[in-house]
Amino acid sequence: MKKIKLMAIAGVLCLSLILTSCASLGLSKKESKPEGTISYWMPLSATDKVEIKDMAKTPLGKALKERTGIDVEYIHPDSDEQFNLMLASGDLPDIIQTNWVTDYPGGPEKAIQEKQIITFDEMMEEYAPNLTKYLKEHPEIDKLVTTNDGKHYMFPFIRGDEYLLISHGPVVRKDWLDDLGMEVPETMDDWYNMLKAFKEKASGAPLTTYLPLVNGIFSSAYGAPQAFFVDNGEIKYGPILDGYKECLMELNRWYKEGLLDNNFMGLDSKMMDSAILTGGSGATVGSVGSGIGKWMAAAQEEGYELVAAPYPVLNKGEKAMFSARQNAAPGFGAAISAKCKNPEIAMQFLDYFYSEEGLMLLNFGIEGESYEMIDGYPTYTELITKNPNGKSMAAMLGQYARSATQAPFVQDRRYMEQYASLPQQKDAIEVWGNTDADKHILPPLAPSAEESSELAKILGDVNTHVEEYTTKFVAGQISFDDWDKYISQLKTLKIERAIEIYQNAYDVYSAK
Amino acid sequence: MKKKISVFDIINFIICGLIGLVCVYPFYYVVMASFSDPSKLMGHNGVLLAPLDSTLGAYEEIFKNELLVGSFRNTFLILFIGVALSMIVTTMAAYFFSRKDIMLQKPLFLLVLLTMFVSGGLVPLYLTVCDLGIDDTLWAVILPTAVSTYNLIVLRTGFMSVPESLIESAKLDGASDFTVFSKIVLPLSKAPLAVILLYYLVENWNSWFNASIFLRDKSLYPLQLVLRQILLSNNTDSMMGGADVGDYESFSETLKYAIICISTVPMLLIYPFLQKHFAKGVMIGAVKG
Amino acid sequence: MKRNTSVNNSLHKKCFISRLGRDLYKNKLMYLMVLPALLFYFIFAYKPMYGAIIAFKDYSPSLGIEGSPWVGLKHIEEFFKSFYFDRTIKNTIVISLASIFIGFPMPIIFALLINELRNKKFAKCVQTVSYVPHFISIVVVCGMIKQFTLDTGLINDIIAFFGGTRVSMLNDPDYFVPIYTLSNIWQGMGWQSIIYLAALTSVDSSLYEAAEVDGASRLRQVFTVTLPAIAPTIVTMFLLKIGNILNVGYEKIILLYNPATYETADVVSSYVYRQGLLEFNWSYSAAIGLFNSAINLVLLISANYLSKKVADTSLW
Repeated sequence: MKKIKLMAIAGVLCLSLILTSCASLGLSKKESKPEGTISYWMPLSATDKVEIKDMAKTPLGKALKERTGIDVEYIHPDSDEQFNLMLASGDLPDIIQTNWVTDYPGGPEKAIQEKQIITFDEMMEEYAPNLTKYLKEHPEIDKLVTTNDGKHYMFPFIRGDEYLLISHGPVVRKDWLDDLGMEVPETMDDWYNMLKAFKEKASGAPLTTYLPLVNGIFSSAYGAPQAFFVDNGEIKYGPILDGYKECLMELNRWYKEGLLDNNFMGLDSKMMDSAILTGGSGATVGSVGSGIGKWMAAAQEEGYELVAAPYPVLNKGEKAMFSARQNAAPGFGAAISAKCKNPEIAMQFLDYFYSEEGLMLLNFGIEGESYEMIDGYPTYTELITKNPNGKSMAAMLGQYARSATQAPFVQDRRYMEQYASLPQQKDAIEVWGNTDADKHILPPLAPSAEESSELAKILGDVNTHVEEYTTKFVAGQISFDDWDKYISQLKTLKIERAIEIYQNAYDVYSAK
Repeated sequence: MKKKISVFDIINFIICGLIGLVCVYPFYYVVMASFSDPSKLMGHNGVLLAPLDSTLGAYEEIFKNELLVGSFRNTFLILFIGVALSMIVTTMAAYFFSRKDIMLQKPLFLLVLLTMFVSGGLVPLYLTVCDLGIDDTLWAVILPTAVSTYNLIVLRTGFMSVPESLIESAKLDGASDFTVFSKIVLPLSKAPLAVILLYYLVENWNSWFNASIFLRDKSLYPLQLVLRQILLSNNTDSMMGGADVGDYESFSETLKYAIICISTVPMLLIYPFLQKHFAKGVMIGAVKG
Repeated sequence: MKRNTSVNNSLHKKCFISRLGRDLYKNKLMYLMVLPALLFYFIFAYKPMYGAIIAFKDYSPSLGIEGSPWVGLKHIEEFFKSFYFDRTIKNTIVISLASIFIGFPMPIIFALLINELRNKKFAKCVQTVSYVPHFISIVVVCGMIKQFTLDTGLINDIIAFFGGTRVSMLNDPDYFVPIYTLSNIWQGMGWQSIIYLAALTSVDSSLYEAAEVDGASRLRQVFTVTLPAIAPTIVTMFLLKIGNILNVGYEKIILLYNPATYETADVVSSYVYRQGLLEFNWSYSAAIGLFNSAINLVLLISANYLSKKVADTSLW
């Protein structure tokens, strides 16, 4: 019994010891921030999560506080779940930043209707003059960032130049082309001939890439991208069009002749890296940074060079009708929550981001520290581009600016010009950008809440079906005689209903 | 009395050896890859026997992170408090559920078992934690996972194998339930105790999800959450990333392996210490002694 | 007559309450010991459990759990009616059964083999390394599996060496379940065997001596002494496994499958994951979770009943 008593005493002692040192050890709660500060829900990009503990302590956060005089408490959630939990708990910060079109279930209309965020048209001219001015000057963007009935509810992320909209497309080995005396391929026939010629050089199959991308890119040549798209005001879905079948027949031919990687359906990025780096294959699909940039930096082979090929077409001189182009305003932005006590202050703070001074700060950071004006061109200093501590450019930009991520501001073309530093990368943006995709890509659409949940379920089944059959058609596991069966099954999966939902939402959008 | 070595012994030796080899290879690969030159590794495919151009770059990269050092402290705090708490509560409960003559035992056990099948989901748990006022503290990481039903059942099964006769004779000698528990059941159950100790250690060491949900203050992040963030920040798989140029970090691939090494090695070192409790005959000695 | 039963009933009730009171008093120390755990279950499991009702509601975070409108069985019905319901359920069960019938005995056999090793140092070594794969992240493990099963990979090299033809294994639906099951064994065998090794320590060595005197062979000793001794552990583990039969996690599946193998590889969880419903439709995923739990629970209860009848050991 004595032993037990002793143990109990020791336990109590331990416990009290722990409790007294709780605060410093994170076992009890810290004091909350003083009144009058604005709280700002700011999810960070993957890179920034590691580099930034608290935005208020970064050079950017300090500069913002100094210049606006507004105290801001930043909340940086770690996971997407926290967004839902924040909404569920009803404990809303003053400013909430997210992609309202894709990440809020039911879209911005629902958020307004459920009284989570407010529309601020009546206060806009007074408290957000800079944003108002920008949107007046760019009515096509204004259309992208308002609700279906034209109300303003967020300070949007805007890609300020055509140059910033595309970063993804076909990539081929330039040095192999030169050896063979061939030009960069433009048409599907060029591609076939090039892959045939590459077969001699490659140790594996000459074309290696993920499946969805193969089709997305090659089927655009046949007028049937693997996506929903607009054609003269009419919504269409590529994989049910005849052009898609023609594309799959061509890819099937490539597959049979050993031009397309045998394992194309199950490739991961590691396998692709190794194929493209070691001469396993000479053509793929990639992006400016994690494609061309990564591979050119890691290549060991003498004379290794990659070049971007234009999105393929059927006849020489045509322009591809679709690409991986993005919308200038993808629906991301900072909104004022319905619980915000001082919406005026919150709006003034956010509006600073769109002022001339604010735009320089958010794109390039602080003059003399992160950039210098050289011949009127804001040039990043070596602190950013060749950081002495070995930090990457994106990591440093996170400290001084927001240009490497999505944030409420207008992204500047001059950021990308310096970020994509290799000439091949700059070329790629030009080459891939030269398409008619702007006429065909869907704007951020907001179907009603019921319709979007119906859509999600239809698309889940449709995507499974399309992926599965596409793979089997290309790999020759089923014959093209079954095409009609494939189409009729898509119809049972209610693909037509999905097109209808998109069409309705698009009509509402166009009528704005 | 040495027995003769039979054919079975030789075959068994070979089989176990092979299993060992097959099991150790992935870890060997990870260690070798973590010391390799990243661009060489990117182009490499297949079996890896030695580092490709050995470098410590990936480890340097990881230890540059300012949150990392603090996260070790947090993790050890979570391990220390969390595992102690879990062990005490689970052991006592398992003893309750392992005895035979208690009225409410069966219904209570069924209630415990039911929690393995029905859960209320994240939102109510979050609200509960907030109501308790322990959100944004380490308690929010420790308490909601303090008892694992699986471990409770494992330990209960272990306790049940203590011979009933020993307990009864002790009771006849006037020992209280607690004395039986601390003097007879616990000493005779070293092996199952070691097992659930190991399970709790590993579980607490690896956990990051609760921390990512309940903690807002980054200086409280446990090791695994920080490592996870480093890992994700270097994820170059974002092929569909659109117009945001995926940032190319030179150490991405090796970093992944280095992180696995850092987070695995401590758990591998623990095992041999616990293993001695699995030695045969420990129990029998205790009974006779 | 009627009155009689009611009297009987109340007597019975009184009896029950007083019996309970006496039991609580007699075993007060025992109840005290279980109290912290019960508190834990009450606060962190039962208090939040009301959240499970969102399976029958159209949950929206801003309306809260109570405020969201009731929709009855809508979500479960939708799940039943979904185009791929049959296929995903079938695949889930096939994968689960494979992992029970092939995967479950492996750690037991492995523990017995280690137990029989003469060189104890070697036994310890094998044991330690065997649990390493458990710690390697699933992404890395799957990356290796992919490389080894490529048509130019190690396994195909071996097959080709013995004169077989090369197959791109992960693109062939017939290979998916075997690859998934075998790699699961590889990952978990050592880790799971720990529990059996621990159980083996409780085997009384005098029993072996007695068996030896009777002239039983080593194989016979395994069946007459070792296995009966660890039977409770085996049964417990088996029942817990049965209670998990419909829970095939999506993580490893989505890392290994691809559209070419959907027909054998797509399970309920991966299908739901791919649909993106987990992110947007809490109610739908809660309904599927509840459906899974209900089936699992029924299976567990029947298995427990059977095991009580047949083997005289059970969870409760």
